[in-house]
Amino acid sequence: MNSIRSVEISATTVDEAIDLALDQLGLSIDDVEVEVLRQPDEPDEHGFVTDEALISVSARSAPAPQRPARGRGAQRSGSRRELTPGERMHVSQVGQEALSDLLHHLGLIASSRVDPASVTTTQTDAPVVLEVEGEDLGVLIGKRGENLDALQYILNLMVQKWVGIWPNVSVDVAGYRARREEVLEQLAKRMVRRVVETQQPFTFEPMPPRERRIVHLAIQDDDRVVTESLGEGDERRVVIYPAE
Amino acid sequence: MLEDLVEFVAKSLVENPDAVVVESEETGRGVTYYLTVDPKDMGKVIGRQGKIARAFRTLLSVAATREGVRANLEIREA
Repeated sequence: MNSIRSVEISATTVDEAIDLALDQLGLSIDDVEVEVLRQPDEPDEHGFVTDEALISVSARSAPAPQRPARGRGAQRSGSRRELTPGERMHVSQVGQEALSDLLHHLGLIASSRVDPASVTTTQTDAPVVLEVEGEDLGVLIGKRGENLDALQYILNLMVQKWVGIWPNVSVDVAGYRARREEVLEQLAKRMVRRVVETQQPFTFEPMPPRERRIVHLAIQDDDRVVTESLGEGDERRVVIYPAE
Repeated sequence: MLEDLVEFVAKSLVENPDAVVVESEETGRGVTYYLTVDPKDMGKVIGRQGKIARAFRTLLSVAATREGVRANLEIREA
């Protein structure tokens, strides 16, 4: 049994530091929690800047749940899978650069920044979040966020070409996505109450896939109702039915 | 300006950026951009069920709105 359960390691990149740490611990990436303590070129607690990343890697107390094809080699070959911490960093850098170029070509006076929490998060299925800041950005959001969705989709394709996997980047403008998610969740819960009271199904307005997902997720744990998406393409809507 | 956007996005998506050509034509109500790419790259700019082309056109309309013009995008094989 390996007695070392946690190490702190620095290396020139986060990825390299993780590889070193895994070697030392004799564990695979699925058996550990990785915390990025400092990115390369980020000042340490004394304000000194080095070109090395510092990470902390600890063994999970329980073995990782069994999931198929989750070895490191298998992970790297897939084009859609969760990102490693090193990849999150890489995606955020490439993504921010590509987004700045896109905004410039769109004729917008705007800047983009990386949400640092979305890079260091250990929630591996969470998106890497880029925030756009500037003036007059309503046009970038569009009706029901469709312009923002188009920008986000094109950006993901551009970044995918650089990093080789689906980068799962989310682009937000002035907190639009977060606000919209809250509005949809509250609307969904209100409509659940109505369906429970009337025992009649309720059909939402057509929504893009991402918004339908938010509604389904907001309701899925409520066993008084069931949800379903009906219709094709731009006409696809969420319906809430009373449970049997 | 809009032509630059079309070229930038197209070159960012394809495998063979050297084959990307953008031409434009003024129409009565706006501008039409003709994007030509390597035949092997058609899927990269059109996508399954035209999903990429649709997002591409939406982006172009964002920039066109900023400039107060109407813009269309047509994609052609080289």
